[in-house]
Amino acid sequence: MKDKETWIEDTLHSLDGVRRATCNPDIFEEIPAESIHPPIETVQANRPFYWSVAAGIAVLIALNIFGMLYHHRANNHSGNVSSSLSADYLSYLGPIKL
Amino acid sequence: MVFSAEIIKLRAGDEQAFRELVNQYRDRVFNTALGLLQHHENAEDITQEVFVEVFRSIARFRGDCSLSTWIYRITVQKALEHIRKSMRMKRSGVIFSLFGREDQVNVSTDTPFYHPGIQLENKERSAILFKSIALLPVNQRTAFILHKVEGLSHTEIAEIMTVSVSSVESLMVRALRKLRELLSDYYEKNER
Repeated sequence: MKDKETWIEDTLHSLDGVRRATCNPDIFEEIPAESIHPPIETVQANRPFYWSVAAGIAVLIALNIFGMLYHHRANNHSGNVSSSLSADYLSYLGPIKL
Repeated sequence: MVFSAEIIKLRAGDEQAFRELVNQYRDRVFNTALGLLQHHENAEDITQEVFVEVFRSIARFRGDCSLSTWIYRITVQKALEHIRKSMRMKRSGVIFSLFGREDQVNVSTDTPFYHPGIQLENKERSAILFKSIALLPVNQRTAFILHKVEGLSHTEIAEIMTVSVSSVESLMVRALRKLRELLSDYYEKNER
């Protein structure tokens, strides 16, 4: 029993006085050159953000075009109405001689 | 945060500063990785990986710990990642071997590990001890290797492992208790 305990303690102390293992001195040369230089930090475009801005602009343009067309059509329609009304009115009054 | 001239040079990508850093820390990184991995070639690969990681992420080094602590942290992290990866490969190796994919099997080597810094008279016993260390839970193993093989204090280990000093002490106590159990079993089977 004593032998066992002694053996365990001796084994546990077998690392006492261990020296640091030395590495291959050429390790720096063996590191790939491209790894040494830190990568150039590129600003990644925030794609979802840019897409939503583009979509917003497209919607605004579409609304403007729609609005202009609607306005144009409405103007044309009211122009026709007013011109037909005035024609009716003039025909009612009879020909005006200036 | 005020950085030392060394760190400023490193952050600027100064190659000479990197060379000096490698020369200054290579043995510490290698010795730590070797203690954890118990494999010479793998420890060298990890040493290279650690320095590549240092080069790449020095810009993110905030200086909230010493450069040495930061490098030890990366070393431990890389070594443990490697252990986890080889354990996964070992597990998948068993499955692949069932389906005849022998090339995928990660051969488990039961060859004893001899640390090059061990005194000759302790060589055989330390190999038995290393075999038992490999069976410790990861945290206990890390604390034990950093203390016994790399010779760091409990305070330094606490900083590296980002735990309290009392936690490191507790890890060491538990590691020693477990090692005693494992060595006792070994003695019963082999030395009696």
